[in-house]
Amino acid sequence: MGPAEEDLRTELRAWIADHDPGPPPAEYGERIEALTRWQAALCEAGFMGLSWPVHCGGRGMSLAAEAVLAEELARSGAAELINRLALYTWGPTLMDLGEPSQLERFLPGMLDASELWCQGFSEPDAGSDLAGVRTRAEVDGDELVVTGQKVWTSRAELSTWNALLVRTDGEPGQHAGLTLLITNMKSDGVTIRPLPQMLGEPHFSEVFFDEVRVPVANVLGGINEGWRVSMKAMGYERGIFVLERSIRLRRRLSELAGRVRASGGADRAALAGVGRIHASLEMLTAQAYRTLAHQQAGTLLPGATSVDKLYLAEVYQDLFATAAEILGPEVTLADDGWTHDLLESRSVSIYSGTSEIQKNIIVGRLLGIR
Amino acid sequence: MSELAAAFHQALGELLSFPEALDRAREHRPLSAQVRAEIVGMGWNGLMAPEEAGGLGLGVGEVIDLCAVAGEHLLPVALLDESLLLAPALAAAGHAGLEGVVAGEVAGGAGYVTEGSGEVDAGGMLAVSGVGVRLSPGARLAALCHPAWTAVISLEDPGVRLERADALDRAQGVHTLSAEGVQPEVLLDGWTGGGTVAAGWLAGLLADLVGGAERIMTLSVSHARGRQQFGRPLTRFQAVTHLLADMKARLELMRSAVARLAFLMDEGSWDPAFLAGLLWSVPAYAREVCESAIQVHGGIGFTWEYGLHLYYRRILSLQSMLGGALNTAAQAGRAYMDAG
Repeated sequence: MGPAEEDLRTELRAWIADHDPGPPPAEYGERIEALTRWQAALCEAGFMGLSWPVHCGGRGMSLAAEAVLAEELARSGAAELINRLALYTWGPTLMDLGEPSQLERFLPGMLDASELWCQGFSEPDAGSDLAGVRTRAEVDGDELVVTGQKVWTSRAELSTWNALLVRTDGEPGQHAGLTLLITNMKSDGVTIRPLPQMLGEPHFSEVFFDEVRVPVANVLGGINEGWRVSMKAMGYERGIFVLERSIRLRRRLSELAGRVRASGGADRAALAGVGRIHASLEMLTAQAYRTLAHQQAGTLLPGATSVDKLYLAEVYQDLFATAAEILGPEVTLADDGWTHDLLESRSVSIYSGTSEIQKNIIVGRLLGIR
Repeated sequence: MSELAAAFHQALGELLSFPEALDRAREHRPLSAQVRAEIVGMGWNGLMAPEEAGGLGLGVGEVIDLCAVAGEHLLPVALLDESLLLAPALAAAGHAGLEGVVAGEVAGGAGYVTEGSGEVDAGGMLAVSGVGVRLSPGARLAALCHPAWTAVISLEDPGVRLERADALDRAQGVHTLSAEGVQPEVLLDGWTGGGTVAAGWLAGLLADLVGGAERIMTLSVSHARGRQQFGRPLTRFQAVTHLLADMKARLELMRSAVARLAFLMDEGSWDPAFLAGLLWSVPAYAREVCESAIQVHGGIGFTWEYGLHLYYRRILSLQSMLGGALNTAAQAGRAYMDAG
């Protein structure tokens, strides 16, 4: 970290000390509202889009500044950014591939969380196999008309914009002929049907598109360029996103250690469990920092971030399983968040590309095995 | 890779032939004096020693690249010990023996003293029991690294007893060392107290594992590409390629973590709890990589000749010297809890 990042740390720490909202409410709807207010406040104070160029509404700092933000947020009660998909995945992709008018239209709402983003990739017949996308869009004058169905769309009902992958040409199974369409979720013809998760929360949904009209101006990266756009976005998704998640895990480890201390000390098995998780988080952070450095330098190898995502899932699941072992029935009987996280951890090896898909990417891209 | 690392890479590739390493291991025979002299002559023993003592005065960041090269070529571990622990410890104490070690005229080695297997009493006298040390032939000095202290002792001290103990890592000069009432030649802070000499050595040993894991990875991918079963290469079997993916992920995590440790050490902002974590994770992951490599290779991987066991022995030996997986994990937990 350079002096600019260290100054930022001081600034952030002081600001968070004065404005920390504390842990968000357990109830889903209230939690979402609280987190939206929190991001808006962070934006108002100038802490969103730290690594974005100034002309895009950011502060023009390095990616290391985002790492500082994540670290300092982890010290706050609300270590989460509600619009992180926009901030860390679609914002950067838009800045790489978008038209100036698109940047002007979409970036401000990403930063202040006034417009939340979701991502429409998965379909009933296209999960891990993204090329299987069947949702179609036909060009009709200066609009595209979308018909089809998406599934597992996180926060669909809360979102204004959907980074929607549709087929404008070719057949399911082909990478060619896909297009990324920034689709307004409030449009006529969009129907959202929540799918309660095993956690009991309506976190993701089925989304139906029935002749939904989207301006051609909302195509990102060109018609039939959707595969390239998606791969670009996924590189971002698995980069800083992993750092943001790992910071949250650090906070949970610290809470676990606090509980072990409060219970009068640790036996060797508990110490080994804490030590293993501590070491794993340090490995994950070191890996995430390396990814950030490569992203900053433009030297990130295609597929490299799959290591980060694969390991995130492993550490995530190990942390909460180990916590349950160490803390015992206290965890599974009390409604204090640990049970929630223990269950939630199973989703991490599924979302954003399953662990098996990450391994296939490592094999193909990093080891060059076809 | 730096110019120096590339030079060592080439030289060690020529000096340390793999068939010869297998022969040495079979016969429990150390590296020949001539080859040792050539490696020392390139400046190996003075990597971290100050320039005025004939050393190269390198930082940890540069040294870990060289250690990875050492791990790849299976450089005898006592040479890492002489260069990264013995010489820097002598240098830190201004000991007159430094130049002899840097010039390769005084041989030595080192070992790790786990909590409970040794102590330095209030009067500064050292006692250790059954500690594994790796020694160059004719070693006269040994550096001992305990979490709380780092010491250099003379092996000629009457209180010192050595016994050959090279069942696992052969041809590495492994002995058990016991000592009682020995006055250390040098006594420094240990790594848990921020002692940088010990931490630099440990960083080097972890980097050695990264280099070994890299080599094992290359061998495994190459084998999987070439080996045909059921009329197609092993790389067409997902069960095999997913093992390779796990190995690659572990390797990259090891690399990132050791590079970060070196970066933090050179910056002067390293943290003992971070190092404690790596003392568990890096050997554990190196072991996973090697065990998967043996599996990917099938029967050939289990043969003496193919030689994966040389890497495996080196990994197991270090993991065990540091106290084993359970103890190093518990030590990392303690360090984390204490750092609070």
